[in-house]
Amino acid sequence: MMTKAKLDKALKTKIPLSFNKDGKYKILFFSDIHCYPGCPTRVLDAMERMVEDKKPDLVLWAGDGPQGCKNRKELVELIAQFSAPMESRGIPWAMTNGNHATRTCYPLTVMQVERVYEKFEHCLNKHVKGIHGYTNYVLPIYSSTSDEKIALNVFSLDTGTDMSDIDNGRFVESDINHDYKLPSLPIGITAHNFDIIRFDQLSWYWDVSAGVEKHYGKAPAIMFTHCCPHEMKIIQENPEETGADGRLEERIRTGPLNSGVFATVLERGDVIGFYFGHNHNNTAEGKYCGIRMGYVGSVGYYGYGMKGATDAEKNRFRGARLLTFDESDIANYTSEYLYNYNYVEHLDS
Amino acid sequence: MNITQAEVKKLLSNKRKLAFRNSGEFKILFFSDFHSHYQRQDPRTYQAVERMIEDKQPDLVYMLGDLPGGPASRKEALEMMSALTKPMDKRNIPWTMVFGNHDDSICRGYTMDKIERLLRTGCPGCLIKTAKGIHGFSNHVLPIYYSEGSDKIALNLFGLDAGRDISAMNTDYNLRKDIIEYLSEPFVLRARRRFDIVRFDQIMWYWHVSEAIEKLNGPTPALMMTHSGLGETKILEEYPENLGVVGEFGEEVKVGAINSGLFAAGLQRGDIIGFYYGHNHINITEGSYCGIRFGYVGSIGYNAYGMKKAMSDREKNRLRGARLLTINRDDILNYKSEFISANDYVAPVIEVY
Repeated sequence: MMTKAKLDKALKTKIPLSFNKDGKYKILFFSDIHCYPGCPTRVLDAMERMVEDKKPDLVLWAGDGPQGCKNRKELVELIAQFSAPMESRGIPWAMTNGNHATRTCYPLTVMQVERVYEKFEHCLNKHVKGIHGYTNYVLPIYSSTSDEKIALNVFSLDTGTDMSDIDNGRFVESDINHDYKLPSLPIGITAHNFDIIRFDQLSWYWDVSAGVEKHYGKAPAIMFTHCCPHEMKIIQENPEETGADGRLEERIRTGPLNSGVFATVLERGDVIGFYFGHNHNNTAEGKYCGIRMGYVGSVGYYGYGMKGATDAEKNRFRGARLLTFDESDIANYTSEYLYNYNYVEHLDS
Repeated sequence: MNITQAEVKKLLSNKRKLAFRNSGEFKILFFSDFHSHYQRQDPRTYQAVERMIEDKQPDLVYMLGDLPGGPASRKEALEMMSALTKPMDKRNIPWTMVFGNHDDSICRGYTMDKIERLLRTGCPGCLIKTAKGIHGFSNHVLPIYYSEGSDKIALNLFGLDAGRDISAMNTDYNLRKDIIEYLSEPFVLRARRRFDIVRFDQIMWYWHVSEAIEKLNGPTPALMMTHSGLGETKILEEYPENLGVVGEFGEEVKVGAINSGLFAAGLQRGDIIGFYYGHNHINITEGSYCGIRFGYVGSIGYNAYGMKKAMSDREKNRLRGARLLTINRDDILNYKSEFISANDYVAPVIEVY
């Protein structure tokens, strides 16, 4: 169990977040922006117009954002460019790392990149020392009526980039490093260029969640990561039973081993929604064991899209996800998928 | 969770010290899924146990749960345990077990903690213990020392209780009410959805005990035992050639409703070299993934279900058996694991159904 002092440090955010006076709170997810210096800015138009239209209270990037920067200056400029919709309006935002995190800025480590993000005025990114990953943090959103009561927590866990060190310290040299010879798991992925959420990250989440419950009362939570839990496969295979809406035809891509993150949040009992990107062409959300799980889509145009002859076909599933919470009934929040084509021109459409 | 050196020493101390023989060997014989029946016990079960033990001379018998076949009084339960453990007791071979999903009916009206105490105190050779403050019973660790006189641990045996019914999962948070409803949906996932899973606090307990042992003893390899299997068993089933699978899958893999991440945790902690489990009676396979060997130990109980739609008793019991690990302290990682067919030890009774 975490000490109260440590818990309070984890709960501190640069900008305090709270539900609006009308009891509402809106979270807008962008993922897989896949932008690079000098890239076409159509994605930026989409983000700008969605933010202007929906007026979210918090914007979350679910990984694979800016990448391919040659130096720190380029990175700062790129992040500034792509966070402008939020920074110009004073909307707080945060990001979690995707599997391309190591390719963000070649001379910088992922930790150095994280510190660059943390310097942005409205970026709420934080990091926890001593555990795997760089973008593990919690953002408490307080009640509209009391700054003592947490109405909703937002957890981010870093799903990592490379699991080749997962067997560090083993007595046997595990064959996971050259796993390409081994089969992908039933879920259908290759092992060597993805990671999974590590046990120390799960322990950290568990301790924070249990600490919140003890000191501030039970609070529901939203978890967001770049790659999905393996249990998303159950929603894909059982769309009717899980009430899945949207597209789920793309083979689910995630880390090669089941980290147990779904079982952990289910047992802890606070997570009511779990959101992730990484798959660009899946847009669905479903519900399993009382937890809503869904894709937030890919808002960017540089990452892979659908196969198609026209721009409109290739990009028809580009989009973002908006969650709207009502403080009086947080569990029944509304979740909607926003298609890019309603905000930007798709050629030949 | 913080485990002090004093606590870990207490966890490691057992009624009997287990140690490699002078020859350098240690043999573990796994039995699982007895599903004994108080009124109509098939005698072949105990015959097979007796003869296998006589033949293999194990240093430890490890039972992986599902002993009973129905509710019984305390006296009946002790009689059954006595019959079941006689082959070990008379040879002074220690034994232990982890609980299975049926073990709450070992004794009528007894809760799991009372059943655990009944075995621990009522059976002389039983090394079962239960770690306090976490889910489940029979969560325990047994260290095996290099030799009788050594205080250096060569191998640890972790046992975790995979539980009984997932509806016991702490569901007081009102958002969780629908869990049972969902779990009973006829989903495609190959799982009996009612079965419980190893809980987060149990995995955390293992993690911290393993860490504390490493501080005390240096890196020490370990085996992990549970009643129901790892979710990753499905990988063995789907890719038998790549994973060097030995043995036969007689039925679909039954695992807990949700993957608790036990395999990933064992891989990350780095000490687990093998996982063994029962629950599926007619899967007798073992394979290796990410450098960890894992597989089934089979079912020894002739009262338990066997091959489905079998036309004869011989066919029904074709895959009855147990698993023997022969471990050499100088080459622990390459221990030998073999499935022992019960049919080599008892005469099949031929009958037509």
